[in-house]
Amino acid sequence: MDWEILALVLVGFMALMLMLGQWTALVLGTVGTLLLYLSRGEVGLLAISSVVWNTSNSYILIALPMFLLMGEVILRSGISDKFYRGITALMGGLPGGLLHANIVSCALFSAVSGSSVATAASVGTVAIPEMTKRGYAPRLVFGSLAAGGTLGILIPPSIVMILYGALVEESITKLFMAGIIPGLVLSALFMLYLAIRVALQRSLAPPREAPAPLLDRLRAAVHVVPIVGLLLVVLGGIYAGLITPTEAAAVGAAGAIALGLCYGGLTRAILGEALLSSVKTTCMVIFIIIGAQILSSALSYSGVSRGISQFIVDLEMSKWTLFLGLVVLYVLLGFFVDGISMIYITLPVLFPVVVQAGFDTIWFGVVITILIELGQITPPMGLNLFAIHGISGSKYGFGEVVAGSTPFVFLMLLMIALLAFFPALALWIPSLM
Amino acid sequence: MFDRFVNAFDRTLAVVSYAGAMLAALATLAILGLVCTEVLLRELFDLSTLIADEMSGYLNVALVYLGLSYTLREGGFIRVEALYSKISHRAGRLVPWIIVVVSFAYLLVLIVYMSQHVIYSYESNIRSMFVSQTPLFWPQLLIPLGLGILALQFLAYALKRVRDLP
Repeated sequence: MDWEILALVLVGFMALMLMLGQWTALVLGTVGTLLLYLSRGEVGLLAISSVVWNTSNSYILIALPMFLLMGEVILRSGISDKFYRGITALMGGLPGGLLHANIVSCALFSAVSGSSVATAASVGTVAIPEMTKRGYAPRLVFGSLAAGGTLGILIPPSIVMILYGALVEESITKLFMAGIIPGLVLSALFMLYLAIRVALQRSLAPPREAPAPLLDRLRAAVHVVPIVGLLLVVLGGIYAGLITPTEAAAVGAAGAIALGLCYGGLTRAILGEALLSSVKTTCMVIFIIIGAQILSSALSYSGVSRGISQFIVDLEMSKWTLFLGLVVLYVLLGFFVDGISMIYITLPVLFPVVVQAGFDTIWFGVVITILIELGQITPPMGLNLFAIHGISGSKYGFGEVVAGSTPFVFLMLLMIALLAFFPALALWIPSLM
Repeated sequence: MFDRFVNAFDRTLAVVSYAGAMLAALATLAILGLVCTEVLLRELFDLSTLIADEMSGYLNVALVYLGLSYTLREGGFIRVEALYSKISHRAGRLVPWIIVVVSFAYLLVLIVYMSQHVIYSYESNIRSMFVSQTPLFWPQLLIPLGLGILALQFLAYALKRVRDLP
């Protein structure tokens, strides 16, 4: 069968199954299996078992359950509350201080916990009542939390980067290191935006309060140290080449358990819940990866992948027109599809095109991670928006949360533009390794 | 009679799924212990367990396939919700049937080809390339087992719907 017909069957069947509500993992696998059968007959299906075994038995992907466990333990053992109060003690003196505290605490906390939705919800539970009571404009509060929560996808350790690296066979260590500067620059952009908004319209934030006594602030700020310490151990170990990302994940999980025990919030029941939750997410994600790997093999065996790449090359688009097209595609997909599904639905087809167009694959990994962040705060499927709306109480409409988050969408697009003009932002640290 | 069978079948699957999840949780802890031991031995004593990479891979296989059925029962798999809620509402009862039949067929293909793979590993005495030279059919066996339990979940779903047909 011609690749054009196969591609049509593929896209049609995939769209139909996704719309009918089939689970993403099963859509990818079913489409891949169908494609293998249509292009190569029963012989094609023989490829499935090796793909399933090699993906399940992957050493790189062991990082996934470990990072997930680390995040679950941190989120469930009550460390977030004290951590947030520690950050507010440090940043409360700045104009619009608690808004910056939201960004910084969300960025650091979600980097360690690995879940942007859980971070937004966890920090938001403490921050929203406190800040609305003090007179901060609700929109700014919601936006800073929803957008701040997404930073953890970019700031390593990042689960999205592990998934990207595993799929395109790129170094996870280099991807992690490439995310550091863009993560910090994006955090700075968010804080700069908040500072400018508050400076232009003073009614958005309450006047600066008299600072608490230094001893009290120090006492609260101590709770920042364990989380930052854990982050430094994990990232420092990887950067120094002492441990692999998989080992760093296990060390991080062990560190999180130790922290949870020290704080007294980690009971046997909570550890059990954390383990079961990490099992659930690991199974979901790895089953998606297995489906995507079957699809990826099928695309390659059937010639569809080569055909689509050639078709796009024949369009003779310039490199940056293609890039613009990809950004628009991912922004549109982000409206409806969650980040993990987005990577695995698109990359098996588009990655060869990206490589052929001459984009650096580490750099592209950072760009795609920001685009996934963006999808977390764009309606109707922005998961962080739901999380923040869910905890904001019935007083505020969903539109308030969306309106508060919209400026941050543009800041993320600005970050992508910065990366396009200054690729060194992502590639400098990996080049030192 | 049919009702009793369907209920018993579903209850048994619930117990099997939960037991699988508990074993998957233990596998997670075992990976944690194994990898951390490897790091400590290497950094402190310049030694290696020699099996950490290999065994943690097999434990990951156990984690994923023993936990799959529990994940489905707990609603852990993701789908494109925005479209599903609108279309499933309009298309009514047919949609769950399509999903169940397609999922079952896909899993059946995976089970058949993975079983062939396991039988080949067993008959050809395929072993790992690591120092342990583990016969690979042992960890591979977990894959058709876990997929089989997952497929039974879909069967149970279909049986329950058949029972409820007017």
